[in-house]
Amino acid sequence: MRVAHSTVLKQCSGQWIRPNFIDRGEVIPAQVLGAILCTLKNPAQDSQRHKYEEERQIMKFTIERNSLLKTLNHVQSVVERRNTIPILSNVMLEASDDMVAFTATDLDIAVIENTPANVAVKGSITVPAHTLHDIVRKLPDGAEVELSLAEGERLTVKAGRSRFQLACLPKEDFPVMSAGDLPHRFKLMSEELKRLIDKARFAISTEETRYYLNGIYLHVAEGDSGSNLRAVATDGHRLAQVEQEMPDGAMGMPGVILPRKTVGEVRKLVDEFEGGVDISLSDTKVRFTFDSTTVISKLIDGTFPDYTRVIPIGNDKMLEMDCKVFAEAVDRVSTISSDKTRSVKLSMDSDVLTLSVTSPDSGTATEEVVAGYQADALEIGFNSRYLLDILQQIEGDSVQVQLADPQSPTILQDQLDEAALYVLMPMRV
Amino acid sequence: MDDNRPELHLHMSSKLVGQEGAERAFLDAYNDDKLQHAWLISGPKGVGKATLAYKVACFMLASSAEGTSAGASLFGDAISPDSLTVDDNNPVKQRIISGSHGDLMVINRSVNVKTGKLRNDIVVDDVRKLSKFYSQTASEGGWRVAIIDAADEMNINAANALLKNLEEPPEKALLLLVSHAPGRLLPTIRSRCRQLALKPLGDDAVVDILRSQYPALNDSDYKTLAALSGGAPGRALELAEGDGLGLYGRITSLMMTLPRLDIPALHQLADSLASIKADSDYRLFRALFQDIMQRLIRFSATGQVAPAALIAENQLFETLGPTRGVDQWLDLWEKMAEQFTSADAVNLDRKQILLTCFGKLAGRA
Repeated sequence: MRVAHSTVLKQCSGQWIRPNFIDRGEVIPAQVLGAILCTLKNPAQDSQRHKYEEERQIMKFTIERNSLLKTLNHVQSVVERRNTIPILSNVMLEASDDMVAFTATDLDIAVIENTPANVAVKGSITVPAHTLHDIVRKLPDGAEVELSLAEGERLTVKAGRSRFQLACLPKEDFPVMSAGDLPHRFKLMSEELKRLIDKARFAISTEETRYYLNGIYLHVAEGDSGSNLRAVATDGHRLAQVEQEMPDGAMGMPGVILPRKTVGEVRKLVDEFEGGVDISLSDTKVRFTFDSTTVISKLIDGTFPDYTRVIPIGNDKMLEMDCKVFAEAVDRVSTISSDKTRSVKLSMDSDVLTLSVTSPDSGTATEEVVAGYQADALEIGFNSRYLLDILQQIEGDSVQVQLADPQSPTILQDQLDEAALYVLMPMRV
Repeated sequence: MDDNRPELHLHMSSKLVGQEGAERAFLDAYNDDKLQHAWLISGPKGVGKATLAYKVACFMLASSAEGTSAGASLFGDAISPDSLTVDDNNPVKQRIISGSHGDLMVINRSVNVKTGKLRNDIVVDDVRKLSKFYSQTASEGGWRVAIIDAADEMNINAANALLKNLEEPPEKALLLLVSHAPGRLLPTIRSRCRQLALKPLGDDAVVDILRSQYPALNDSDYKTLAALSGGAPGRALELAEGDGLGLYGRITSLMMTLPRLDIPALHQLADSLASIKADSDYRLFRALFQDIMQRLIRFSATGQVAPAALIAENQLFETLGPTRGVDQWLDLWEKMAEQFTSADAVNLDRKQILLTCFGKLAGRA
């Protein structure tokens, strides 16, 4: 009789069998297999069993519900909801001295969090992440949760009078995200990292054919005032470039492209922690270490295009105005523009900016905004959505726009944050 | 949802038999540092192509894992491996079996989310997963290996989408295409791969494999199965598992009644194969029937008799063979093949297909 390993696992309805328990691919006589299954399914009958179970504990720890929930919140978000491979829906629990490490991964990103716990028996196992998260979420505030696992059993979750038994899979089946050697290490304050991400991520491309644009390009750039750490994102229509004072240890690091999903996960965690974030990277991996949480991610394996060529240097027509007033005006007039193009026309004359939208279907809209503008009159069109995305990132009261002509890329800059620069391609209107 | 896992496990656990030459060819390329980025593994169905592909994948991933942990050898070059076999206790192998190795991507027919059914071909979205896989760095730090099983199942859009990856593969990426009929692949795909043809095994080798898996059969059954499998152990096992012998008997005895076809027997056979549950039986029938037709045509063209284990077929050949010319036989064969393919493509009634095929045989026989 020929039995697939996974079939046996299934027949045991998810109970844990040690992988070497059954020699895969070998011929297992039906009686032997039956005996194995019987021992696994055999209900507790003799009184010895309880004692036996105590001795056979593989893992046991208790942990406070809120800290468990917080940890699971952090790690489970990377786990995909729909998975064809069961192990990928799981979170790995590794109990060691007074600490339990929770690991979740989608094969591209791994999130690991260490949480203090009262560990009775050291050990490890994997269980469905979303199920465990949902259970813990529904437990009462402040409850003590006990997780225990005996050999050949399911994982038992006990809290108060609730008791759950969860199907689990061995740790050996769990994916490994090896960081390898990460020679470049530096530290950023969480506000600094937040700024780099927020001001660049809106411009990340979603076009899969140009996969090298599907992330934030983090690299060292030589500027007028020495080297800076620079984050760049672009989708071919707009570009965001944010600079940061060079942190210690970042000098000589390779330019890396952080995938969009990684950027999102890291950004979520930044909000949860204060203080510094340790970043280590090589040309194939990156690791972010917050206090007790670590994110290890793959990078995009490609070359970021030479974006400096698209940043214009000779734009001589300066337009300056109140950022909030401008943004609101763009938002108002764009109501009229048709869904597809979303274009808005900017007409500049001395100290007056007129925004206008003409749509053959729905009508027209115009609004005048007071602006500082001294150059020759100019008309230029932009995608209102892109314009608003950029204006949202501007912290200062006023925004400075550097224009050349209706066909050339335009630069937008924040008066308060000169280290952030946005480039926007005009539209024909 | 885990439909391909038993199959994956089967390939990982099966021993590859009789393909030492192909294994050697791959190892030599590996040891000479001249590893091609794409390999087209071809050969008859069930000969061990996918098993070889998984073996190669396991070898590559296991050896790159060793390479990264141990670093470069202190005393010059490391010893070149002389076998593709990876120890069963290797954690990399364990992860491949559980489907959780981040650097192995297997592309096969996927389940259509809307209907919940397995698709008939590999569609473009399945192949695009490969682009995403190749666009990110390796998760365990070494090679990235992708297996397309089987490349023949790709539809034209999927095949075209694959070309991009074949033309500009990233570094340290290996693509293994499994193909039962490489001639049907796009020439642009074929020309970008190194071909590795697996040869059919001798009957004795197939019998040995059968004996180890199904010890209860008798000698003549082993021989018949081996002859029917055409040297592909996977097919022989499939036949042994799905009562291929019984089915073969029914087909031949039905064909014996030609030209006066035994209509009730035909209906009985067609009914038993047409139900949804009998899908695997139907596939077995199709393969067996087409093989018999092939041998019949070969007989009428060259006079080559059936192998000793299939002695019963000779009588069939002698009665049926002379009834039409080789060109007519070929014509009929082509029409039947077409019918089978179109039946799968648009879900025609299988019973009707069977009736038509035998009707055609009888009509002119």
